Amino acid sequence: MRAVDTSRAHARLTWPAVALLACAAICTACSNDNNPSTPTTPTTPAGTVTETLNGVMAPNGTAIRTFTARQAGTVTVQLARVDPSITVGLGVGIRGATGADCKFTQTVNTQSGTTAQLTATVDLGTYCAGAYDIGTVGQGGATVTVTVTHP
Amino acid sequence: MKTATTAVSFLCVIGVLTVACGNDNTPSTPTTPLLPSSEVFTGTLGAQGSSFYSFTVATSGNVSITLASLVPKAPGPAVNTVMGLGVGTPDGTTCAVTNSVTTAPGLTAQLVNSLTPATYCAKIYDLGQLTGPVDFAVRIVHP
Repeated sequence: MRAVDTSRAHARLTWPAVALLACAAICTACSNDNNPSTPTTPTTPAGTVTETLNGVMAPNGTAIRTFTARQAGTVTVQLARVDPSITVGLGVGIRGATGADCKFTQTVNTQSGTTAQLTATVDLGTYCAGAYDIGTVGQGGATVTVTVTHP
Repeated sequence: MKTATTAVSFLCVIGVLTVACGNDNTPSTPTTPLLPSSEVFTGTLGAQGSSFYSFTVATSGNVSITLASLVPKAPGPAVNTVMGLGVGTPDGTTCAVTNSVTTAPGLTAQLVNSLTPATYCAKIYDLGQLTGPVDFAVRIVHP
């Protein structure tokens, strides 16, 4: 009667089994790598953002809005409405050291219009835009609407 | 004996796979772009005048300097006078400029330098074009 080497037979059966189990473990552990279960929010917003300032400007006063460009790009500033219908100063720039005022880079004297009166190229950062009295605002003040579009 | 070795090998394989692949499916947290730190240097400059401002760079990186505003009388109108804009190192009561440009105001950096940690200065100076005092604003963005 022929003796059977049970230990060798066991070893021949076990190593293929280990390989199969390893493959199964790989499939289980890594099969979902390319299928993120939760969509991530883009770190940089796509497109542009439009912000609107509505304010009442006093004689010799200003109406300023601060905005943040999340990436470099083009900023447009539109004096969309002014009541009464007068010419005022419109500007875009950066806030001063105290943040209380807007240090204008570009300015234009303009009435309200349906297209942007100012266009500027900016880096990522915080900026300001708005209207200021050039001596035309009466004692009753002036209501202004300024629209800023930025990246 | 071989059975025990096989079992240990299998457990090692599973352990390695668990460590290697355990975090692959963790959703990333949405982040908001960070704005670099910035300082605004303001003042009034007369004809033939100059002014400088010292700032400290804590870590190596790009330093961006922007001549953002020149206004004879606040709040406006703004003027487009070309000025000198420089960066250097403080030297007593002066700023020893090492890099400079001549530029009109704008909202993109006119002077960008890669600097190592130290104290530096930004300088604005008239090139002979000012006819009266102007209020200026210079933005310095640094690491």
